[in-house]
Amino acid sequence: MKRKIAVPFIYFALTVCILALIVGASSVGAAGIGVFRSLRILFSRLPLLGNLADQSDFRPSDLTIVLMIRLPRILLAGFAGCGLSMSGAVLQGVLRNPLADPQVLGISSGAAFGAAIAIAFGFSVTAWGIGGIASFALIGALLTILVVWRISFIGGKESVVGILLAGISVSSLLTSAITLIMVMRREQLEKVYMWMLGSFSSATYPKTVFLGVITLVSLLFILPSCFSLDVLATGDDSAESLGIDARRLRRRMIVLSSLCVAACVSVSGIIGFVGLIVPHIVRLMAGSRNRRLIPMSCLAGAIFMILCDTVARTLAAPAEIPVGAITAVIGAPFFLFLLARTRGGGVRV
Amino acid sequence: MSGRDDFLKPPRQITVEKLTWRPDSACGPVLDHLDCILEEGCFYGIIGPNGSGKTSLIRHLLRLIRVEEGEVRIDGINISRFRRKELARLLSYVPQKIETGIRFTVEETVMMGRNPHIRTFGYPDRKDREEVIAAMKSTGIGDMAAKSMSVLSGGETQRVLLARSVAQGCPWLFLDEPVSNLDIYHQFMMMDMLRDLNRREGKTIVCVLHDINLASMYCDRILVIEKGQVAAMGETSDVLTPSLLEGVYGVSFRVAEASGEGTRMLVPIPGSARYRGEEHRGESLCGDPKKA
Repeated sequence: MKRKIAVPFIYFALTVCILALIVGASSVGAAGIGVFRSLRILFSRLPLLGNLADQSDFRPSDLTIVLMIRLPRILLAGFAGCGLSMSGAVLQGVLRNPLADPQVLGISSGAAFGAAIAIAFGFSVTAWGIGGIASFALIGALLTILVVWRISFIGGKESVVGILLAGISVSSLLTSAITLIMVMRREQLEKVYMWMLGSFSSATYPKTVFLGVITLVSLLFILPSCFSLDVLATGDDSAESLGIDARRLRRRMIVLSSLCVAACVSVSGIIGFVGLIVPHIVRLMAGSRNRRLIPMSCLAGAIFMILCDTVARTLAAPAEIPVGAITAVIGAPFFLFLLARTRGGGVRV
Repeated sequence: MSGRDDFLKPPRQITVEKLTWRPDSACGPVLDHLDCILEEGCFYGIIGPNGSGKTSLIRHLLRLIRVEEGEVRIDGINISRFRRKELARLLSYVPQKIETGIRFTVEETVMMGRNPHIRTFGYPDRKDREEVIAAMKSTGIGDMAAKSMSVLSGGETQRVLLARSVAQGCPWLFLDEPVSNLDIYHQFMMMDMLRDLNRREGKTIVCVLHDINLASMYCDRILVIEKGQVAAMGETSDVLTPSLLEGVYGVSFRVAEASGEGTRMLVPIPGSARYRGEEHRGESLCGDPKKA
């Protein structure tokens, strides 16, 4: 496998792509705003250079649409894509399973369960300014992490298979519980269902800040361990004989990526396939080393998610398509393709 | 790091005292008050029947299993007092295979051997890369650097893992059945490389083997493990006798002098294997203790 594309160029291209997407996405939508106008509006809000922009022809409505409605949504989508892809990349390595994604640990189901309770019974508690449903989803996700964690230690021995089985069984249990809730509260069925499909339509700046901080902090803690993560992926014995405390590293990584996924899911609902396919696309471009895989997955995940969300809110405007449906439309065929190639043993990565 | 210099000196001797291991899943102790002393510079072969505790022993020596009863000491220092990275600079492990769910290239895999020399949270530097290239050259895998680990044959995988250990730069190498799945050419190539490391670079080799004649051809000293204890230990020619092997394996042997180099071959006699019933701790009765 030859890597023809230079690494700094990939980073550069991904960053330019994100910036262009932010500008582009903030100009499209129900109310048409020119690309250059939205660029100037965004530019005018930059800390130091902002004053250089000519602000005389900005309409108040344009400012509100770009800065208060579209920008937080774009940023929220970007952070969610970044967080889910990073967690996917980490979990695939830590669980040594190329088909692992942030949902295998049951975190998404936990969040959905929390959200379903909040929606169905009308509970509302606001924490960190992220809103009632999101707070409940976050609590559900965090409790699920704890439960899966406890279950995977039953029998005293910690193993990768144990963690996966615990996650899958808790996840199916919670899915049944959500179904029961939806049946009991049939009038809220649609709302619960729409939440589970995932959407960024309820984006606010507090949510964006909340998710941004958690994603960046997790990334900051994960990045220094990239080389150790490579070694861990070759097996516990192999890693320990090379001087790595395999269990401690695995636990730390699972906790960090779980927290990140919990935050993503609680503000946006369940958005599938991003955490699975983005790391695989990046592996094809830049190889399996986590040192490149993780930062590139973050950037590529943000791009993919902003793109999908923009499609979701413009394709059938003014109606919205759940973003989870868009990512799955692109993701599911890719997933099957990947599965077929893994079975054949011919994956080049 | 002052005061911990003793933990980085090449070990002259590893002492095992009354090492006992009773995993929950096995019915009896897998290691049972095992005593032995391994000395620097030798080429050790560990032999013994399936389930006798060979793998468990080297896993304890590498601290892949924590010592619960008895003691393992490196130059008098209890193995539990070493930090993991310190241990990984002294003792290196060549497993039979590694996980390849996430597909790394050969070069990336060999680079992992440098982990004990890279500071926490750091990345490989130029010196690490030079060591890796040298290690790949010396094991004859220089031309496979960019290949994916998942497409390698058994013999190639073993060479890559040996290269990883060479890059690790440890004075002691532990190998768990390095040649069991290899054809005769790759078996001898692997053993020749190990002998080279032992003779030319003075590395101590501790190698679990199933083939008694390979052990007799390459090893200076033999450690025979039976039912979790040392059945015999010493110079190869003293230990590998038909009577001892018959006692351990339950198969009769005769000695055949191979012409030329004066190598003694031990030839098992067909039809001599006798059923040893309950006293033989078979894997089918207790589950595989290695996987416990």
